[in-house]
Amino acid sequence: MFLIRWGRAILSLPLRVLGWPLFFVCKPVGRELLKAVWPVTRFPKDGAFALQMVVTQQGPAVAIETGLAWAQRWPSAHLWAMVGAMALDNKQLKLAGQCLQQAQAYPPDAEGLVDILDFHLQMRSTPPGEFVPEETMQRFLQRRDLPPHLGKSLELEQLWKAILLRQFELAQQHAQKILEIESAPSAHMAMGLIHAINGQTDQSRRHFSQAVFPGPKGPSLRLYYETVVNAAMGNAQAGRDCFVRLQTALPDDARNVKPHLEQLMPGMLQGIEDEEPDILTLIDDNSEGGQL
Amino acid sequence: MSIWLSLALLPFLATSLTVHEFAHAWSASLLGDGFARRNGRVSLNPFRHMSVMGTLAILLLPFGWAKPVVVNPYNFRRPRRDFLITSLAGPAANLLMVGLCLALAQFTRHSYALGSLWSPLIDLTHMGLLLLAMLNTTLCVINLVPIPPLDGSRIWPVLFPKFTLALKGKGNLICLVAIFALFSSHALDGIMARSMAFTQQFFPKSDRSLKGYHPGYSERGFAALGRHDNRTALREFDAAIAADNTDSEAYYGRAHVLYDMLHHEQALAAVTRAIELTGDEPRYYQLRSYIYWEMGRPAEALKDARQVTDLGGEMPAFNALTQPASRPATMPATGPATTALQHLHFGYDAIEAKNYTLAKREYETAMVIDPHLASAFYGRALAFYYENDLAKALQDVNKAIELSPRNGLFLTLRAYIYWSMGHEAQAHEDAQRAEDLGWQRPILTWAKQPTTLPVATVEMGLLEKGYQAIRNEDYPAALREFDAVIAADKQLAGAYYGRALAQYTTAHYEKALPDANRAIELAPRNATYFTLRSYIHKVLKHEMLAKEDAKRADELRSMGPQPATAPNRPAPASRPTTAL
Repeated sequence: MFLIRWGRAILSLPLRVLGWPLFFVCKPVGRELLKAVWPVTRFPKDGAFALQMVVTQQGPAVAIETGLAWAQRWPSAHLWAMVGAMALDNKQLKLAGQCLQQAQAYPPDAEGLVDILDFHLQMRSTPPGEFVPEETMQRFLQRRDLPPHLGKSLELEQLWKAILLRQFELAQQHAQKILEIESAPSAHMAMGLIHAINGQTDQSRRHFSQAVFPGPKGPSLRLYYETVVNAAMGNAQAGRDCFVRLQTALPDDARNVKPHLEQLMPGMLQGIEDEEPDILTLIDDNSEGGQL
Repeated sequence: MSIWLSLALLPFLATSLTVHEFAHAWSASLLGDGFARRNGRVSLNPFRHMSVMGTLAILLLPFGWAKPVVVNPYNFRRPRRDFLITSLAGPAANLLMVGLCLALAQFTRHSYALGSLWSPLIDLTHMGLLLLAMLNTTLCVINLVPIPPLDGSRIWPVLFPKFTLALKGKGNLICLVAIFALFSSHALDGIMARSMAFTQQFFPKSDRSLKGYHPGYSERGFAALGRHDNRTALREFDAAIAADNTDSEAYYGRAHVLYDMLHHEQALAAVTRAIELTGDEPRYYQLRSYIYWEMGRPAEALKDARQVTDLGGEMPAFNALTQPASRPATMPATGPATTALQHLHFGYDAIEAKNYTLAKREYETAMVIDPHLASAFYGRALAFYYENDLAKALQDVNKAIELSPRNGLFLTLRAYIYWSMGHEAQAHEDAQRAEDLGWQRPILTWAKQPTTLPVATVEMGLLEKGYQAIRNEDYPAALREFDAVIAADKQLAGAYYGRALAQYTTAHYEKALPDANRAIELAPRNATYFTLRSYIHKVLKHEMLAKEDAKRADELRSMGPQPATAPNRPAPASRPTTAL
């Protein structure tokens, strides 16, 4: 088996050697070459990579369709989980659930994508204003073999749940654990909030300044956390302003966090109407049994 | 790098990488993170760790890599500390591998330890261990470089509180370029060379590699032999043989040590191997002749002795019994007196074989070599007696008695000669004297004329020489002689008595007592032995025991003649220093 894999890897070598440099110089050609690795090797990891290329080139719908075809022909936990993750991103929760079921039928993938999909599916299935059910959390927390990404997600989930419930000591513990491991911007935001509440202004400023959210969605994400922080600190006007902007930037998240904010600082969001949900999402979600 | 070299390198690199990655996974698992275990990485199966691309790189480049072990520090109880331990585990495992290789190499350094058949395999294993040790050293050092995806990039940041853990161990293109630049610029060559030299310094040298230079085992063995350190000598010679099983000198040295330690069978095997390897070395035949001699195989000893002379060597003296406890590495010194003893032994054999002519010739040779050897005159007298040449027999026995007047054996023979010649009075006189000296009184009747008489054996000759040495106050020589007799015959009470006497005279009372005890044990009716022991007890302040022995000696003397087995006994050479 190893020899077969080895032979395939040799065959794919020219594609990789040429593809990677070209990917940085001439993206379309590089992409095509790297996409061509998958038919040669049939390694799930290469399949997942090729699917990402399809998403970039042809959009998520085509990528999901292609992914489903590949996963049915060359099934593996990794590929099914990848398709599931794409479906989740595309708000097709039912399909994501089906992909998860399929993925769980195969030996777990090295990256732990199946578990990540499982947790995120649970998160996304949680109705707005509610937290991920405790038993679901415990199911994950009791396992000591989860991938790093999921470990961080669980820790962050607990951190922000503690903040929304005003359990700042518990939140501090989680934030400190995260920051001991990595410089997570949301953990910095949490620590900034906790220091501000404790009157440690300098430390609070330092943490807020370290909370740099990278990527195109970075400012929106920062806005989300600023809204929660302002609500927790009792800055009603600032919190309200942030929320209004958040409704535009991340409407789903704004809708989800709104009930929590109302609990955190009653009256802060008085008079602010919910944004209209995306009709396509409504249809899609209703088709799955609905969350709205 | 040739593909063949790469293929040869592959199992070693795969082993090293497997152990490295296993250590990461195992330590993570022990510290609470089961992610690596879930992915099957807590395994020593190389296929679980080898990355396809990394394996290809091994074959195409002078290095390779395995799949990195992903750990989840969120699963750790103390993330920072446990992450550091997990990161260090890989290089530490490589260091352990180096230690293991060094330990195993102690067993594979001797190429011929299991014989010629296995020596190529042992050599190959030794080389493999060296290669493995070097690769693991290299892996350990390289992995400490703080550039992702190397372990150093995870280790160093943890040591500084301001830094967060480097979770993304995969590294990016810049890191890969940095690593490539680091290697191609030979920036690491110095530290790599030093670390490899450090490992090599502790790596035991293979005997095969030393063979061309100067192993020195045999030389050290002979030096140890010269210091009488037989154990060291044997170890060195064994090492020499393990290094090169065609080294005849090593076999010769080994035989020598074993001969000294009285392991005659093993000594014979070793020296025979030396002769097989180098057939024209007289020393080897000489040693074998001694061994044969001591094993009671005189014919083969003689054959080898002749071989020695044929090869231009010195004729063996067959003084094995008088060999000093330790001998020089080359060969024991030989002397005329000891050669005379050899002829005494030949004479004994000839009389046993009723070849009196040959016996006389051997005894005469002994006389020529040592004109004061009473046993030689006694032996020839015996030969004449059996040939019925009584006049010549009387002449020789007189000479023997003149040289050793207190030897009951000689007096017994003369009693028989006189009796045969019709000199009854003198015969009875000698019989009485022999009886007085502790020997069985000769039965001087015509009906019971003895057909055989004791022959002067080598042992007896040595006993005689021992007593003579005591008379000459040469106690070290006396001790040597008695030691040799005891080595040859452990039932000879006279030898123990003689040695006890020599020890007693030289004030080594503690050593004298066991010999006196042994002598009494072997000859419990000899009054003289009890007398000596009473002296020894007296000196050692064992008053009661001294009195008991003195009393027993008196009782025995009052009982009459001693048993026939009692050996000749000389008078104490000197009075005890402590008055009884």
